[in-house]
Amino acid sequence: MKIKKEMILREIAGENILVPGANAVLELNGLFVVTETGAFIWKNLTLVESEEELVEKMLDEYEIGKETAEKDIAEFLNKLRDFGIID
Amino acid sequence: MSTEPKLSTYLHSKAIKNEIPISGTFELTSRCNFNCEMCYVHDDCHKSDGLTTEQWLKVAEDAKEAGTLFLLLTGGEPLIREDFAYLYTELKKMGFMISINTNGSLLHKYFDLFRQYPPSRVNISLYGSDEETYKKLCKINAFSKVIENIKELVKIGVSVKLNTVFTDKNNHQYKEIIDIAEKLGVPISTTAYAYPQVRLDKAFGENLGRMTAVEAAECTVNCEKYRFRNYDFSERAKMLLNGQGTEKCDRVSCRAGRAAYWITSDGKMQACGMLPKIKLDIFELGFQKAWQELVAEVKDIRLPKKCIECKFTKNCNACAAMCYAETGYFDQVPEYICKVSENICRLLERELKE
Repeated sequence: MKIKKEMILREIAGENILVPGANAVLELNGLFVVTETGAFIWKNLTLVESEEELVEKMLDEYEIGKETAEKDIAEFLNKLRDFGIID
Repeated sequence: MSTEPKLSTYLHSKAIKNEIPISGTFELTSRCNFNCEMCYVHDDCHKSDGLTTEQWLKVAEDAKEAGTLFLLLTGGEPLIREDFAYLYTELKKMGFMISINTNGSLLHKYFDLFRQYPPSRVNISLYGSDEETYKKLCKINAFSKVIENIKELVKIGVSVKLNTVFTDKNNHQYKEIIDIAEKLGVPISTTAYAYPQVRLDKAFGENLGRMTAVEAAECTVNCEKYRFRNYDFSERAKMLLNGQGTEKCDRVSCRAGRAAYWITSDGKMQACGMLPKIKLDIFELGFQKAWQELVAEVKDIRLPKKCIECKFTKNCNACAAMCYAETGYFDQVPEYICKVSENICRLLERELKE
């Protein structure tokens, strides 16, 4: 999956935070706190070809059902799309 | 009123609890193209920037490792460094939320950079409302350039805040300065307090450029009145009298040395820029060790007991740095600040009566 706007994932004071890096448009010049699953998805975003592959990776990592994983991933990716961070 | 985003406040409070240096200031240089008489850091004898590019990048890597997220780049004038664009870009790539303190006169060199890598905020010092005042106070005719640069930066969409320190050279222009901010549609912070220049080895309690305590109080109230000219000022006056000052206790209660630190241009870690009493060498000790020692030393600071009992305590912002800069000690009462607070209250009460 392609990341359009560079964001840097950092762990600060126990929180996972996406920090704007290069080409972060001005409207996006803020911080995003993401959940642990969000951070996991973000770390794997560029390593996978499709959402399906992301689901598989998540099922390898977490003891959750496929439906929950699909829902969590879709929700997170939609948010990133809304902000124009990914295609 | 705080304009800080809630997330930042939350992260800072968590950082204080866990002694994480979440907020750092890098004083990139003590050099400046201005020569303001009340400045606490710049003087003519400083010829080099201090730390090299590589040294700053090393400090930044260590700071990142230690948990720094918010980074303020300041000086002197940070934009005067020849490697500023490179340093800024590298720091941005590391994942810091960067703000910049600047006098605004060199911003035009970096518009393209800020378009590509927007800073979280640029704080611009505005020293007057015409060239004459700039010449008198800063020894440079930079007013037009500064205004032109602020306008362009606002146009680009970068978040801008203005800061004004009033002295006896520019306090007559408080209305015009506030007008400029209002016309530009940007927030402005004003203060009539100039720290004694103890970092420049001047005497405690002295700043040659600053006003008397009575004048500083008048200037503070005048600014308040002007900013609230379209509202019922008595409401504002009541609010100010009810207390804006920090809740007093005899320990350091701000973020300095608890979640925030300051690296001077020669590589020393301080709790804040105005507090040179505790200085730790980050290259000798290493960043993390310096931070731990700083936290421990700041915990040991005791402020004047008299301040807790004082009837103006609600209206006073005296802090450890002010006590030290005014008296040379943390636990001595900073009389200048007392007089300012007392006079502000007197003037506000007079406003209420009228």
